[in-house]
Amino acid sequence: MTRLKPWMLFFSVKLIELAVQSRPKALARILFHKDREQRHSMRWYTQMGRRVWFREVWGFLMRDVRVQDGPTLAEFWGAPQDAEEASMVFARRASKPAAPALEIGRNS
Amino acid sequence: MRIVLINPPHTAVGSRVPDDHLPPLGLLAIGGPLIDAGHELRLVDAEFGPMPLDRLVREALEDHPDFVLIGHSGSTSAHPTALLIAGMIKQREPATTVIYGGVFPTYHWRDILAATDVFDFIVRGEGEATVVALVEALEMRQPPASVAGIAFRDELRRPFATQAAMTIADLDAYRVGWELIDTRRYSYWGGKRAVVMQFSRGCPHLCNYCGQRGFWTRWRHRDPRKFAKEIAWLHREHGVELVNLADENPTVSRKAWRAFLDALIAENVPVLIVGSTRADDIVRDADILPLYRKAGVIRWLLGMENTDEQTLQLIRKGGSTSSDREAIRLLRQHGILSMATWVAGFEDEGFRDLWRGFRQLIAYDPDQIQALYVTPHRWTPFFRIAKDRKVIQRARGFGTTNTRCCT
Repeated sequence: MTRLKPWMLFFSVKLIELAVQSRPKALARILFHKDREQRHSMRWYTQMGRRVWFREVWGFLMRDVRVQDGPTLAEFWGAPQDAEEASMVFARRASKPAAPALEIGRNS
Repeated sequence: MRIVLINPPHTAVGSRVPDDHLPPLGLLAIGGPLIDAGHELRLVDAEFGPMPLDRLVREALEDHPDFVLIGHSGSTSAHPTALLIAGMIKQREPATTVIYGGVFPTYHWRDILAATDVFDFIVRGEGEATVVALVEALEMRQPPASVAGIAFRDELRRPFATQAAMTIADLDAYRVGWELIDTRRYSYWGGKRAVVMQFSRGCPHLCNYCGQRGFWTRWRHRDPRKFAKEIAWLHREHGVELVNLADENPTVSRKAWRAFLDALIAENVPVLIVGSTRADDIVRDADILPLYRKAGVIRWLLGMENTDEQTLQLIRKGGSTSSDREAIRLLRQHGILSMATWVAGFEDEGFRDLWRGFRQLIAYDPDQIQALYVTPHRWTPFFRIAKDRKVIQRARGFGTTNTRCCT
């Protein structure tokens, strides 16, 4: 990214999360969803999201160490490896053997 | 042979924040075939606690296993921890054979084997058939080079990979080793007894950032009736209340998915299902969405990734913003929650792009969102697009730098 500094991108994304999840419509679903099961789902997921959000922000501000002139991705991970993307060779499923033809009436 | 499976304690925020833990499906999937091949197996799941590494290694080595198998579903971020564990094992029991598997080692096997000798073998690709063949070859003192789908150091200590393994043609031929876990310990969705399962593996779509599609190589699915029967068995015998589908895209075949829904409805078990799928499939299945809900589906994560048509073309998503919006509307109409993923970093975004993305998300009105930063895995075509970006953050355990998205 060259147009935004890392902190600008990071906090923009965090702000988008916060704004989308805090809309009155979203809050109403968390608090008053008509389906009890889904109300539980919404509340549980929101609780997890809140914990992750604070931990990520704390990590970005207090724990993570950023470098000014780091290597390029290729210098870090190595050359592109997309030619090896398929890790296996596709094996076709064996087709079911055809049922043996019944010869009816020959011996009757 | 005595074999111990290790699920490393994951340091990622997504693993440490929830109070719930899900079973390590990948390890159980190779555990079943190994038990059926006559081996004695044990699982040490260090995600609980999380377990300190010293105790984890002590527990793993307490009966002097012949093999220790390490793997984690979050394989890139778990690699530094897997490396530490393997090192501790080799320090205490040098004769124990350490086998490592998963998506990250499948592709980074050269770097891993060149940098360290704590892993004896790396399994590349899906492990059910490969690991059984590898253990058998080592037990019989056969040359490991005869086993397809592995990497190791040759006589000159150089990293060497055998020919690629074949994909498993019949996924029902290998069973999950459920007996390795006590299902009462595992939960998700706020304390519901839960397991992870796969109806299918892989994805036919060509999204160029996806780190999973190539690993599974080709989309395949299980027998819909057998899969429904297994879910019902897990509910009746083990009290499982919720199934988290680990599939990349379980609904690819309308016919197979419909057969699964019908079979699960016929089993009549109150099991809830959460998973991920594509918005296009939801729109395609508008007429059978009541069956989704009746079978127990309560939430789909929709990988819409971006709200900009041009970006969707760049990443070869193959979807459209109109189907994304329609899918969310349809899911809500049928009582199914939608979680939209939205990813920053595919392009050199500015504030205006982010604002537009935000406005689009509001217009889509999903129940939940996951806003993420793109991870440029080296084995994906997207890496070629991003390879000249600068790394901006050093990471624990990777030596120099992290993959946090770049400047």
